[in-house]
Amino acid sequence: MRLFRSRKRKKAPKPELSQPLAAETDAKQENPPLNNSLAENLNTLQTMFANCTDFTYRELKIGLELVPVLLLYVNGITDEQTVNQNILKSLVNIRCSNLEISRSNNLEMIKNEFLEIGNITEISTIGEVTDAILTGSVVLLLEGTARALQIGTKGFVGRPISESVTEGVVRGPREGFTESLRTNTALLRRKIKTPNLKLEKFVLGRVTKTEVNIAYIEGISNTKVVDEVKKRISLIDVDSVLESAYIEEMIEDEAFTLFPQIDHSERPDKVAAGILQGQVAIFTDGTPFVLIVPTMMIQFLQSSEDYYDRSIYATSVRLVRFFFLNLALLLPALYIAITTFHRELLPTPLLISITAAREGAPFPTVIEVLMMEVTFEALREAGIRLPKPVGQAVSIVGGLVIGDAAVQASMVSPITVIIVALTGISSFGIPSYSFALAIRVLRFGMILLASTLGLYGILLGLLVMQAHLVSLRSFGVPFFAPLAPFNLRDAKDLVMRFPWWAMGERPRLIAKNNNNNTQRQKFFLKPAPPDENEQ
Amino acid sequence: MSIAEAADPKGSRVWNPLIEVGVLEEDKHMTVLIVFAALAISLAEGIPLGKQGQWKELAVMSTLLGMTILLAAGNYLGLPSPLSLLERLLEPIGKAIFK
Amino acid sequence: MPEKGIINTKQFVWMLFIIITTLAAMQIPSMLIMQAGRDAWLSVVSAWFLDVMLALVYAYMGIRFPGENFVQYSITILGKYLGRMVGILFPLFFLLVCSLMLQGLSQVVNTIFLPMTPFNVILVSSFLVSAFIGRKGLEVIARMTEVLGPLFFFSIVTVCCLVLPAVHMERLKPQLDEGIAPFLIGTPLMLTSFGVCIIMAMYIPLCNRPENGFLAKFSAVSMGALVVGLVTALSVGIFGIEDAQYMNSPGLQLAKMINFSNYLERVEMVWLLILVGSGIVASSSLLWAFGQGLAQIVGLKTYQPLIYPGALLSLVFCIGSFPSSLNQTNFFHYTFPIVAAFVETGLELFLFATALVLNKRGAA
Repeated sequence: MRLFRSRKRKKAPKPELSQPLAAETDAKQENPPLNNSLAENLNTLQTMFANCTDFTYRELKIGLELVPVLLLYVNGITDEQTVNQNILKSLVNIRCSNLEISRSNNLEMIKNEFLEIGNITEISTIGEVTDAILTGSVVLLLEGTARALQIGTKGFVGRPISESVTEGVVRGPREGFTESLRTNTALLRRKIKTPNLKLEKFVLGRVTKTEVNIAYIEGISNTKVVDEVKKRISLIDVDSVLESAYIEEMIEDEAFTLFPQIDHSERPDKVAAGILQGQVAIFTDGTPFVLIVPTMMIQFLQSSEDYYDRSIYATSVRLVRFFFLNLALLLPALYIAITTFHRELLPTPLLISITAAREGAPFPTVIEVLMMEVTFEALREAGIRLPKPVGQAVSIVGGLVIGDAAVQASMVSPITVIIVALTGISSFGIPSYSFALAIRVLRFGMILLASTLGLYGILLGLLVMQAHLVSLRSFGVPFFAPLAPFNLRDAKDLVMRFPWWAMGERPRLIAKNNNNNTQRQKFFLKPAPPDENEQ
Repeated sequence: MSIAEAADPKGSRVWNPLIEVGVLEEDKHMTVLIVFAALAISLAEGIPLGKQGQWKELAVMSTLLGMTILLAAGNYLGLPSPLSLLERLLEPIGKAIFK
Repeated sequence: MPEKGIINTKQFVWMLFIIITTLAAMQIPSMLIMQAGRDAWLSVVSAWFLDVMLALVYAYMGIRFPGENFVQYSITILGKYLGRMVGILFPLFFLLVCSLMLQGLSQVVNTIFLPMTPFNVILVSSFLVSAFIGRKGLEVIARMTEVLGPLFFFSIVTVCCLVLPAVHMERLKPQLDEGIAPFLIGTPLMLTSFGVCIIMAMYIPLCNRPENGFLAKFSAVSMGALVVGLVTALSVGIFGIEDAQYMNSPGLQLAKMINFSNYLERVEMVWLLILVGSGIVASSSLLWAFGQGLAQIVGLKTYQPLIYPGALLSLVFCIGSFPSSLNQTNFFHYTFPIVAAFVETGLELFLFATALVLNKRGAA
């Protein structure tokens, strides 16, 4: 099987932006080397950072020779305490007398003998200096040296590690990712302790200079997928990356589709599990949501808790989830199709009670269902956006309007209310929010089809939807796998969730590797009481 | 109860725009529809082909669509379709063999 | 080759199974019962045997001309012009089968599901969807059949199991009371609709293991024969030949017999939905075969632009030729077997013999 569909990029590469963005002018086009003279360097940087109140510089003279030194940093994104305690203090305390301006190894000496900081690199251009300052480092310039020291003092008060809001579990680790990239990779590293866990750095966004890391385990992940991820990420050339969704939309396989082809999570355990089964994670600075590729559709219907509960229970929960997925997609459409076109499908007592309930309803079933669905969507949207206290009021009023008043005024039949409510509840049963969005939109398509062609219309809709689903790919892996193309070994984790001792292999479609070794653990780990004869 | 009655015992509540508008009732309407469909296909598929310079593909596609329109026009005028001709030719043989 | 996708043996089996069975399970049983009476199931068995024999020829040709389907090897064997003239018959035949199939399905949908909706709306929408699927290529069709095929197979087998208690064995007796002539004449009727799986010759070059072509066909035809044979025998056993031969679709009547404790009474609708879905997917693979075959004859780089025009042409065939459901049944009963026998058996055996005589082989 071909692994990758040839990605059609634009045939002729677009002409480079003729007018570079204002902020980038300095960084890219004028990247002169540093000057020997401290004053001149300061002058250049001051013009560059004109009108930037948070830009801070501190001149001091160090050693017995009183060599002028300049410390540059941006206030607020550096760790003030490190700057004061470890840099300023140690510089001021220099008392030896080898720092003559004419000597060339002054910088090395300061770096090697005086600074109490771990992460120090030498840089030599204005561009590097600005980059360093803007990412939270302190830059040390020395009179008479055309180089500078970049001192890593990144420090920013971010949100502490807290419980994930969007993916709660009953059993399982509580921690969730934060907005800080390093914290996130640290959370991952704490779970996977091997040097084979690789974290590769990319910087995306001409203006935002967002750091992006891809994480994978060498030897477990598919090298072709890793290379493809790197290739697709390096093709991104935008001015800003504020959330991982920016990246997601630019590296996915099929742009025009409702279905997400890349999973995201803010749970370290889920990301770690993905990496351990051969997936590649993409961390973006500034967002707790980490992308996981390649993704198969089935993963949107699995929650990380499936793997922490007992396997039989997890399997039955999954069955319920599949059932609710179908309800969320089809229930209103089926209701319309059956009550409008195929009443004979219903058992007679049920048909009678439905007909009785619809007695006196002024609208056709379609209009009724559409009205209620739209109202429900509006309520849901309002509930998310409004401030919490107001949101509650809205849901109470909305609930009254939907549930009671509409029926009392015999605008809609009570059955429709039941159907719409059931559909709403079902759609909350889908673990992935972004996947549920696709289902929400498709539900309306199904309603329209059902209202014109009945069950046959629903069938046509399902066929088209399935044709679309099986044609999707996520980084070369068929989206509908392991169902189609069917793979019996991978089906251990499809509807059924086999016990951990039985899942001896990683999913072959994802982790298919050069050495073709997908074994995860020792086989035959099934626990059993000790054999009594064997004593 | 017949199927039609079973589907709609009351006969009034059915909301089906396709019935009410009453289009596509005869095959003659279909001819017009087919010509429009042929034009739509030739635009939707033909323009990308032309852009990529795949003239041979474009020619074959246009021939197919042209045949379709001719056949549809034949239907409209009441000429026998190729399948009917085939049927006229072969049906006697079939009837001789099979019951 | 215009098609870039590759299928595996499992998908190969399900694709063939769906094509054979959707075509055969709907209308063939009643024709067969009309023809062969109580011995109808024997026709299915003998047709199965003959079809497996025929499959040997197709599989052998697939290996003799590696990487080529019959459209291509007819050009290799017969030369540029004659080969093309013979080769184009195969795609046209697929288009014809597609017309027949969708016309038949739309008629059933019209009678059972949507009696008030104009027939043409149903016909056009089924063509639209199958062209949409066909244009997405072989891999998509293969994956869809992988989901629908097992569903279809088990739904039919379940229906058959559930109606088993209603069978009266005496209705199936006596066997062979009119000699062997009826079931022998019934055999070609059955064979021609099993024979649509000559489409296997289109799949063999695209299968990841071409040598499995025969195995795939054998499994598919066996499953198809099992299903059709069961439906035929059960309809005779339950309804008796007098009723069964005039039924529009005995399989559907069988499914209608099922009800769960007088509460759910119309379970056959679900069965029918699966059948119609499979039929639409099957006709999309027929449309695909038409596009692919035509593209190869003319030497095109891609077949996808030909799918929608092909579907439109097929639709015009339907509208012009089958103004009523009777016309379609008649055509299916009397004309189609002759055409099919000519294309499926005659042409291929002719190519086979010519290849042997001229000692032509494909470039390895």
